[in-house]
Amino acid sequence: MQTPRHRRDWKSAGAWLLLGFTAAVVLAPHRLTGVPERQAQSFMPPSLYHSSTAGNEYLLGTDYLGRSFLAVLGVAVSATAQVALGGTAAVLLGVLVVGTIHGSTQSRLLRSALSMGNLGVMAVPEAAVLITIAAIWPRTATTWHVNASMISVLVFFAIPPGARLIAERIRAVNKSGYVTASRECGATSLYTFWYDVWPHLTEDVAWIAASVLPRFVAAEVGLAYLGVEYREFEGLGRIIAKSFNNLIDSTARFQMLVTIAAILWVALIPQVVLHLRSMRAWKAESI
Amino acid sequence: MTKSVRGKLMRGLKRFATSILVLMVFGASAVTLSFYIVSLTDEQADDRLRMSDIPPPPPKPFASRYTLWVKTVIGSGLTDFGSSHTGPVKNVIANRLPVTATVGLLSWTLAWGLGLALAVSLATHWSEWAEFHQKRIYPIAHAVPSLVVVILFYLLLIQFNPRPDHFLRASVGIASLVVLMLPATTALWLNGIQRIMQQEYIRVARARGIAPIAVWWRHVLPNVVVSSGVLTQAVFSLAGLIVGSAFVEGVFRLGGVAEAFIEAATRGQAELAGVATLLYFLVLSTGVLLAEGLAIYLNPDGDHVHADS
Repeated sequence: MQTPRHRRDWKSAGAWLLLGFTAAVVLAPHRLTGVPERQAQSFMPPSLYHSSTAGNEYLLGTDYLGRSFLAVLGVAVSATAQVALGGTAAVLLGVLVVGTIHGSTQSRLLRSALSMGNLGVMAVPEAAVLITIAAIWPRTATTWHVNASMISVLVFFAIPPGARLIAERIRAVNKSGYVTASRECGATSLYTFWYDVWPHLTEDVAWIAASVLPRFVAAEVGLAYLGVEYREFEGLGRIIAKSFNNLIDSTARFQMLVTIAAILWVALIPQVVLHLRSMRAWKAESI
Repeated sequence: MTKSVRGKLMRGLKRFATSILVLMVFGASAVTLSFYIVSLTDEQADDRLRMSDIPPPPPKPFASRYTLWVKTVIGSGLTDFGSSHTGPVKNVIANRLPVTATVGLLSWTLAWGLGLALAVSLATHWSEWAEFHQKRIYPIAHAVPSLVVVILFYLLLIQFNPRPDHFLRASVGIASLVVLMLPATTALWLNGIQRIMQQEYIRVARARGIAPIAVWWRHVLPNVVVSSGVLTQAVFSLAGLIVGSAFVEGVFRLGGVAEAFIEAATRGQAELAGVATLLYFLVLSTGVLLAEGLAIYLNPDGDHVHADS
């Protein structure tokens, strides 16, 4: 049974609105509000349901350092989303490069390396590697080195399965008649890839992005809870860890639920994009 | 014994031996590497560095420390695993492993068992929901960070019982792990079942009037186990759970191996980190060998399993 058209349009409009709001939150906080500073007592209740007598009103209360929780949350969503988006972009680049080379050539070395990589990804717990990598850096190491090494681990773990998928798709497309015809007509490899191969990869790329981005969010959040977070980084993980450590406070509990909603929002954004893609495909078909 | 049966047996044994060799090499390399990496760090030395101007002594050299540890472990017949800053490693493991093993084994069994039951139901009675599960529930559940689910379960628990005892915390922790794993296990089982159900021999078996239970038991399930990747995923997830579900152990204050491993890694306790890695590979190896044995028993040739009758 198909969903009526007007409901699809409403859903599509809602999804676009959510994406626009996300883009605004990801890009705006540092420019508009800067890094939040201590303004009041820790865990002041939200003015949403408890008006302050001291005159300071904070919509979602104050955090463990007495900063406006709304501002802290905005900066944290921005930081977590930026790392997740940057990491996903790096994974997609790696997946496309390795997958394209593997799918276009018959390199046994690359095939063995990818098979080993896939086995390694399944056999070696990613979290254990991340914890170890985070722990071995001395305190004097620069933030950039520590954080880049941790993100690199996540990127390397995500590349082999995705590259294998892309390679299989490229191999299947390369066998088709129109790619051969395009080459025989004198088209360059770049032209053939862009016009004949790439359109067949977009769905796979979208699915890879949708499965990889949440892993970056989960890793940041989980590592912060375990106390081995990215250095000098205030993301959603640190906020949830601090709220969890102060669970006895009702404001902390409320803020933890708000943070959980924010984490789900960032982690599920790719699903919204996929939903939009499927709606566009449906519209194209109906035309 | 006929020639073909002997040939199948030899092929099976060869696969088994190769698996053992690969696992031994992989496990030994992983233990050595984790010992080496963790032995490089010394947080206590870093603390001393911050407290005074006197430079801390360098960490003990890896080679001598590792040799001593290997000699201790092998010489004691796997009864002594050396000492870390917090005392004998075997005491740490003895105190914490039962908790982690119980939580891991129970949640693993429930998640894969319930996943199979749900997948069979989705493939038969609730087939109209199968696509919804694969296209909507599974991707969304896969995207939700596990820490979030575990914390939500904990919040739910303390709403009903603000001072839960250890048993209740462990039970709810197991429930949270099962809920976390269930969409993925169901998706894997269902994917395999749907692929096998489309095969010609299943249609033939049904057309010949074989009872549905016999079709499932003798044709569908063995082929799903062998050819859908369920075995591999199940083995790796078991090894991961046995070494520790750090979030469940941390949030529900269960005191398992994962917390000890994190402390080992951050405080330079290479002996403890080495044992945790060794433990992981022992569980993984046992699981892989059992899975290989099962796969060889069900399907020595590496193709589909289907009985003649």
